[in-house]
Amino acid sequence: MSTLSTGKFGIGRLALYLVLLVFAIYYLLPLYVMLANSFKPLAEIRQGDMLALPQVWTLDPWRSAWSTAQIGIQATGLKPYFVNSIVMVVPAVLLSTLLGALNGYVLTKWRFRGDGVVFGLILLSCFIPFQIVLIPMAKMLGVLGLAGTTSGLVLVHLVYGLGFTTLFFRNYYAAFPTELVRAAQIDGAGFFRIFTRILLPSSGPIIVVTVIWQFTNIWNDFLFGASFADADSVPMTVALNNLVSSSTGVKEYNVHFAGAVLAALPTLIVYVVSGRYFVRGLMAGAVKG
Amino acid sequence: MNNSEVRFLEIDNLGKQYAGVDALKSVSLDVEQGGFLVLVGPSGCGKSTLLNMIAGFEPATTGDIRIAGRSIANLHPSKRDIAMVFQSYALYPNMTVADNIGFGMETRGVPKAERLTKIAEVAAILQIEPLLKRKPAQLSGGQRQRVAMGRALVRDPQAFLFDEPLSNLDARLRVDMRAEIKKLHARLGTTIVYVTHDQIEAMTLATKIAVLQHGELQQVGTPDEIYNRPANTFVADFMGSPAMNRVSGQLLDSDDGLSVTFGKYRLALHEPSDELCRRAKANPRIDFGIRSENINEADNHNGSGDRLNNTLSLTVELVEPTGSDTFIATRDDDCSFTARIANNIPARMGERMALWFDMSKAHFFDSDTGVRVS
Repeated sequence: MSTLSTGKFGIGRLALYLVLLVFAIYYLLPLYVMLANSFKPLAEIRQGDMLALPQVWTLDPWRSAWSTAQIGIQATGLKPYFVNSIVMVVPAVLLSTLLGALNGYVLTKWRFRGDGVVFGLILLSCFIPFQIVLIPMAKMLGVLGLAGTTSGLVLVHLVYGLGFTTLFFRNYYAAFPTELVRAAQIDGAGFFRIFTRILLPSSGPIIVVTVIWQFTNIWNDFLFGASFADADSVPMTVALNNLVSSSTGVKEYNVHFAGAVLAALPTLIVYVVSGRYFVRGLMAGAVKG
Repeated sequence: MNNSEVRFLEIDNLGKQYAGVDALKSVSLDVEQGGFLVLVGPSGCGKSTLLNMIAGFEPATTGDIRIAGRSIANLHPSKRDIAMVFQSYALYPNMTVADNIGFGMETRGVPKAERLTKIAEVAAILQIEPLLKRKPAQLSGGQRQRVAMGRALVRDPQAFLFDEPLSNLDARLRVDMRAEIKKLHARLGTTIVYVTHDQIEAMTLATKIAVLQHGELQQVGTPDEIYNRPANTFVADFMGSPAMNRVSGQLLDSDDGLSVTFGKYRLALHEPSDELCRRAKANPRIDFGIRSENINEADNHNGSGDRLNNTLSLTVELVEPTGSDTFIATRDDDCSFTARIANNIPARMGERMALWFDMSKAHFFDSDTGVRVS
């Protein structure tokens, strides 16, 4: 390590940058291909050079993917499904984060007999593969009358996310000084006031981590969406699949590329906006600050 | 009636068990109104458990706690009319200093104007007015300590609880804050229960000290009693710095009076009690203790008429000048002592030195039980 940092332009440093550059190109290449081809007319793609920049720039594939492309049996574009996903993701993320925080708070600051077992069981849910719960979950949604609805999907994601959000908050709050809770108790604050006034305001980093984690997972989920959604609650990921795999007519690769970028955009934005908190939050508690 | 006024805060046979293990064994203790009770002992002795039970964070397994005759053992911490200063200060990190101090009033629904007046009063007492708008992270250790005291002060409680409040400060600041706490106590006259593992803090602050070990009360008394009449060897060893010199020896009753012998040495007793005389005949084994300040250079005292001439010539192993005094550690086959001599007395390591033992200040303990023999 020390040899790398001795000279500003040492040979080691040069090699390091070269390797990093190669890796960056390697990982960014697919994104480049997607973006470059999404701005080309279909004829240009058919010429076969996927890596070339567009000769004629056009926004038509984007317009088509967003509002006119054939998805399933309707030519609506991805727009309504994008809205479906937002309507599903936002409450699912907020509720699972809030409940995870509450769980973490109880498991660390209001400990009870058998709390370790309860936490272990909650943790276990992180390791259950999606596929196993499909059928019982479908049955349960049916019983609750939520089959095929967006609320049903919210519930599924909420339940499935709770294991992770509880884990995040429990570990974060385990390092939160119990003396603060005691001081607030002497000051006369009750269960919820301590939570909202003392713990939550100090939970910024872990909230960001949880929101990113939950948003990414729920937005990108395909299996639950494909299994439990009806025509009017289909999320973006499933719609994208329908767009790309529709077997009739010409394969509009430029439209598919544009649609794929549209589907990935929200998670990308969430990462760019709050990515630095993500690392900070993951490191929180790792080192004594 | 008069009795209950004297005993303001009463701890009555208080016991605590964790999973069948005694953390606190039936402790009974009381402090007068306006008193300063210090709970002292090594870590794990139960002093913090006791304080947390007074505060109401841990329920008692047995016994009762009363303030001014009223049992508080089953009340929520906020209903006990106490305020606590925590070891870590426990300032709410997301609130300003003013909000930290005012949070308790806020939860109790005190109007904002009244809150601000009270915060200002407390800030004036503790001289933290310029800090009121800051967040705890922007404060130094000493400032945080003041804010934590402010938060306790503003409640105007029946009793303050302090949990090792100075242990996170550097040595200099600790001495300053110690003095401030003492002045504050004199000014407010509120009863204080204070936990520390630092015996000097205990000595300087307390009107009453309770020494704990393994969840058991070892001795309760004024600092003077604790220091000069320790009830057993644990208290004798724990209180005082450097620790009391102790050797096991024999009581010897001879023609020229009672004396204590250890190895080849012999020291005569001043005015031995009947109990010591009795023991000299029955079971002469005894633990003999003497504090370092009662072992001095011999020269000063040879001429001053100590009729017993309790002077021993001992080998100096270590010389530790502290500026005002010099500590001398001696060691040989039979015993080792720490003596305190004037700073102008020459002493060299490895040389022999005549040291005078003031046997009127000697302590004796049963060599089996460690209990004081008076």
